[in-house]
Amino acid sequence: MLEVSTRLELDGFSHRADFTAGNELVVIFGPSGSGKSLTLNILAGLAVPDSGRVRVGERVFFDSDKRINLPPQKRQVGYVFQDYALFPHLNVARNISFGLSGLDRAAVKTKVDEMLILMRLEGLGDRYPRQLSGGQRQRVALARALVMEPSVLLLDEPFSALDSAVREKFRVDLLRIKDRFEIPILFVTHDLEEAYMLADRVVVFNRGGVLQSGCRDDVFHRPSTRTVARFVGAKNIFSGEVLAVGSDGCRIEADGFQVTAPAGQVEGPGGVSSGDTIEFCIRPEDVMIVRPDKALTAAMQDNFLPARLIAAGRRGATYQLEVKVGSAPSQNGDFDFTIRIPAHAYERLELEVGKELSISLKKQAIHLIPKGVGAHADDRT
Amino acid sequence: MDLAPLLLSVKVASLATLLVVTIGLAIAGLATQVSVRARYIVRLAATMPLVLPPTVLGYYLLVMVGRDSAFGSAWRSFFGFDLVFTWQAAVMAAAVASFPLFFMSALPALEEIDRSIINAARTLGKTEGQIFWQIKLPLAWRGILSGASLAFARAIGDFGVTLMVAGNIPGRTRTAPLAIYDYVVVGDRVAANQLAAVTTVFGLMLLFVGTWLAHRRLRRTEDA
Repeated sequence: MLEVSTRLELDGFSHRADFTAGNELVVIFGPSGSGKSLTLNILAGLAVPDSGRVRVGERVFFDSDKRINLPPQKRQVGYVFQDYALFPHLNVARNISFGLSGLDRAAVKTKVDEMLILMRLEGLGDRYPRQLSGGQRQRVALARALVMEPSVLLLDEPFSALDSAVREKFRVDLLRIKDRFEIPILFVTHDLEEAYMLADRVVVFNRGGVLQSGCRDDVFHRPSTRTVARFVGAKNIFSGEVLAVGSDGCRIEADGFQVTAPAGQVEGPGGVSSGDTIEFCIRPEDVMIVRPDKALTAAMQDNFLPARLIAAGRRGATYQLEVKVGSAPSQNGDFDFTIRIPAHAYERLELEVGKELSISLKKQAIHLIPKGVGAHADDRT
Repeated sequence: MDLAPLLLSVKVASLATLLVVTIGLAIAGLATQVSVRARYIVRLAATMPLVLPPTVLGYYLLVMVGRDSAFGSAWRSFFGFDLVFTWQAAVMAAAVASFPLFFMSALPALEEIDRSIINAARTLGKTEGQIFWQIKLPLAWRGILSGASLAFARAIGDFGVTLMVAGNIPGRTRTAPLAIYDYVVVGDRVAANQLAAVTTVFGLMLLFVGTWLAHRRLRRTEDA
């Protein structure tokens, strides 16, 4: 269990970190300069907050009230730096054993050998960092951190310098480490796909503060603010007026179309009522394209909209489509929805740019963005 | 050929270099820990002897360590003799004159070590002292060694500062440069030539080693 609640004022930059995590993979996600790496440094004791508290398991690393501030040397934090920070004058085995103390030679060798195997580095113990590939260097850095049996593992942008084949293997390594060590693993990234694939929990940072922190599906499918929605790739974010609220849902009029969202999403005083202006979003993969020859199910009828395909582009195994609601042609290529469908579905539907089609928004996937939340981290980006 | 002046020079310069490396490393090591502004002041103070004329530097030193100074009296009461006009004073003179050359080479070598490498060592439980010996010294040794050899070369060639503080006493404080000067004054060209030649070869050898190490460090940085 990890608990961070800190404040730090630097020259013109205000950093506030508030989140908790269990023994899981936590992705610290956000744009460059939003305070992600600083959060890791605070956890490692390399940056000292002005106030607050940092706790990992039963150990308090920092508590401004009790004047506790453990130095980095005493925190037992495994830290894999973005540039790996291997010791260039030491070979792989000595890099890995660098932090081990109070053990005899045989015990050190056993531990190092174990790490070499775990991190797929067998036979490389005598090599020097400059003789290794980027992926190997990263695994040495990981082995060096893990051999200390850390209480938390921090990784700063672990994927940024790896090519796609190595990324794939590293993902597997990371999941294996998670199973074996059962500690909180925090990694910083601004890569949406990595975040989605690996995270159990996501902490979204912007301008030095946490916008939202929660389990992955909550953050990706139920963003608490418009900025979070944008960061996590919700793409289809609208502003609309509530027409009616009933037991079957909440009817909203947006610019040029109406949708029904599930009722009871927005909590707090009053919830949602008719006449309110509200923001809502739906992820690109939750917008369906309805085949003309297929009968409409009840669920599809809720948010069934005629539309026209404005643009289409392949993104790996999927297609990203831009569609405009209604049958009128698009002015200047403007569009209402971004849709993502598997490439085989795109080919089967025989879609073409300019063609009319029908879309359906899964009612349950429409998320109403709560009003007035997340004001701290300046949500007007 | 009387080699005594050269041998004295080697002894004085060796001890001066030892002094410079010890004190210089301690100051440079501390300087990397302080703010950039404080480091600027340290750098300025440490390189000052380089821009002062040797006689001026020697004069200041004489004032600071002379018989009537606080340092001079403390020295006398501790060691039982006056510091000025001794070979120990020559060591001090050579050390002060050569300090900037060492410092200007050692400090950047320590500074250019990647911060995240130091931080990695911290998270791996190493104290600042352990980090200095196990990380900083091994990574900065070329800069330190090239600085030390340049300092030695400067120390062995010192004339002005040594003359002011240690004088020119044959057999006691007459180092090679002072002896050459004396030979020229009395018209003994043969002795002057011999001693000058030996000193030149010695100095060139050191310069070569120092420059070569500095160059390798530069190349390593550019390759990285």
